[in-house]
Amino acid sequence: MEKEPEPSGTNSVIEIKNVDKFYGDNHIVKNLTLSIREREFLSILGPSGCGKTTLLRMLAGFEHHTKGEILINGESIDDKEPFKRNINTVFQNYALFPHMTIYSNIAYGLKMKRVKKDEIEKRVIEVLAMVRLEGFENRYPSQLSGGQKQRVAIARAIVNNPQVLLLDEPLGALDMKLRKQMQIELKRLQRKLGITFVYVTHDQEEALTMSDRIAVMNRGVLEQCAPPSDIYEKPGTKFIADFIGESNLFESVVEDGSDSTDGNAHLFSEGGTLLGKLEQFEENELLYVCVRPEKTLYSLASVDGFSLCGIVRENIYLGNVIKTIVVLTNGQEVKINLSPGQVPPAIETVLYIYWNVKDCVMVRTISHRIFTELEKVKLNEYGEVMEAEPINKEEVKSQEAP
Amino acid sequence: MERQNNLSVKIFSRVFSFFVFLFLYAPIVVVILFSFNVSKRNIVFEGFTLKWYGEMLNNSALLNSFYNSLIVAAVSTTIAVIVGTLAAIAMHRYKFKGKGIIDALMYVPIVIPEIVLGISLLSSFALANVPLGNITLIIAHTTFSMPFVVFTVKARLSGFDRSLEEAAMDLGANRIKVLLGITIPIITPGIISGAALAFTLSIDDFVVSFFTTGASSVTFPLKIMEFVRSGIRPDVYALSSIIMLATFIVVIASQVAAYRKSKE
Repeated sequence: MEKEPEPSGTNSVIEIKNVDKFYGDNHIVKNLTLSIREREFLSILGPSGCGKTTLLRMLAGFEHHTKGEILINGESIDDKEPFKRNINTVFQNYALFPHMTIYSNIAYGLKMKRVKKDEIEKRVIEVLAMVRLEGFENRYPSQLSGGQKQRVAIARAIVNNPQVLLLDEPLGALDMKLRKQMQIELKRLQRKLGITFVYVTHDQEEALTMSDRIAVMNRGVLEQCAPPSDIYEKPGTKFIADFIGESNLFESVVEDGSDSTDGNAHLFSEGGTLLGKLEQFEENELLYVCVRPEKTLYSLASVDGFSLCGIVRENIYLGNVIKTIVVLTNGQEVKINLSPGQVPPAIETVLYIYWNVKDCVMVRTISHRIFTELEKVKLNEYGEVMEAEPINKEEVKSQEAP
Repeated sequence: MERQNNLSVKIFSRVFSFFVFLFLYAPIVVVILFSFNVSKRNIVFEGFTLKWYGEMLNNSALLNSFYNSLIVAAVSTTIAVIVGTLAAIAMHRYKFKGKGIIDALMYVPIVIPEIVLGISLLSSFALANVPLGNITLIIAHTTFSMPFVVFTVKARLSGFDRSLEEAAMDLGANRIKVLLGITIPIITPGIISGAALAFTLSIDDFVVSFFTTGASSVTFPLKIMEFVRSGIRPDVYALSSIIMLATFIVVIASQVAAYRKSKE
């Protein structure tokens, strides 16, 4: 896991420090540290059940963390009830009050803060215009479409000028086309309002399109928090390399006595030898080399350092891209993306896979951290633990990426 | 052939429905009819008159018992609604020890025979040395009507979305404001139907009232039973007809209101 870089220049609004959350025996959020900056669009991305919604609910105040510390503007939120936080939430199912008109729904927060009536009216009208729902004041939520309800939910939150807006998969219930449209609108709104958005989603495309930074969670662990381009180009863990976009992953170990005079790491995998970047990896350590399909190359003769031999199984024409599937000698499938102008290799052609070393990323599984933190751990050539200090097996299991 | 079948089914269903409605409404029609009967005896209709309606207004014993019934029903319904609604919210929201047992115990006043409930209440009041009267009547009526409020409110709550309360809190409402401004208004239909049930049960209760009232307070059903011994006079029919008319108007009004709301 990469350490979250200290925010430089931009102030952080929310500091989450070593937070743990348990539901009974279930460890939902594990030792999570993250700082959320002013005016940023931060997505929390992960598969369902990864703890992202729980994290959001802890920020909103509907759940309490078991261990650790959450600071908002430097103040601990431990004793702050949800109604005392300058944070508003857009709920997944909108949670509009069915017995109130759209106007009353949006005015509710201001009314609770005892804002003057004419001021409320002014702000409600203003925010309705902002979400393009002028003239809907007197309707009831049941009379609106899903997309309109979504806009009301957003309007009801932002009318309060919150410092942070939390959004819990707000576009989950909308159809594809409306979703794309709302994504753009949300981003536009966030820029215009200049407030921090914390956006929970399981849709990687959504996160990549909208975010300034993406925090990827898996099984309660924050695996990486970085800008979208970094998440895609420099995934920090095997899980992220697999979860975000398509990738070819090669499980490998650093070759014994590898000669590093050429500046590359010589690796050994089941399918053959391959080259990676010379990074802080120890000899015999288990790691994964991640290469995106568009960066994966092939040649009819073997390339220096690589001996990944395979046979072309399929060419799939997708309009803007041709996907070539190559099966290696160990049965692993490798995807190669070719641009439509290129002529794909004929099926059953025997060829060699390689890549430019600068285009690959080397990642570990998150459990690596646990191993390196232990003393006297010896791994065999397949990365299995040969001898180690007794460790909590449960923990290793639960943190292992799938 | 098929046509004939269809026809006979049609005729059968018409006749069947006719008898169902006959059984349901004929007694009611009889009461209304005889409230206009000249004769004091309810055997033959001898001619139209409104005099029983006038006499009813002079029958202070009958009217007083009716007022008393209204008071008992109003007070016991109010208590049952407040306690029952809060109980339903608590049982819906929180997990606590013995929740299942309390849930099951709620059914007891509904399922045990009224006569048993009446006797047990009477002996309890006697043990506690509470003089029988309106107070004991109200306590008894609250006892058997509260579970109905709990059930109707709980049914309404089961479709209630918790995130609405969270949303209200998120917008700055404290717990009291959430309860009064969001939860209660949304479960109001359940509260109203629970209250209507409680009120009706209280107004026409005879068995439990018979055991738990003293000489000082008489309810409408008890008074009518008293009259039965000496033969019912048509002024009782007159009052019954008026009560029926009032109920009818309330039911129609609530149906119209519900229809309008659903159309909105």
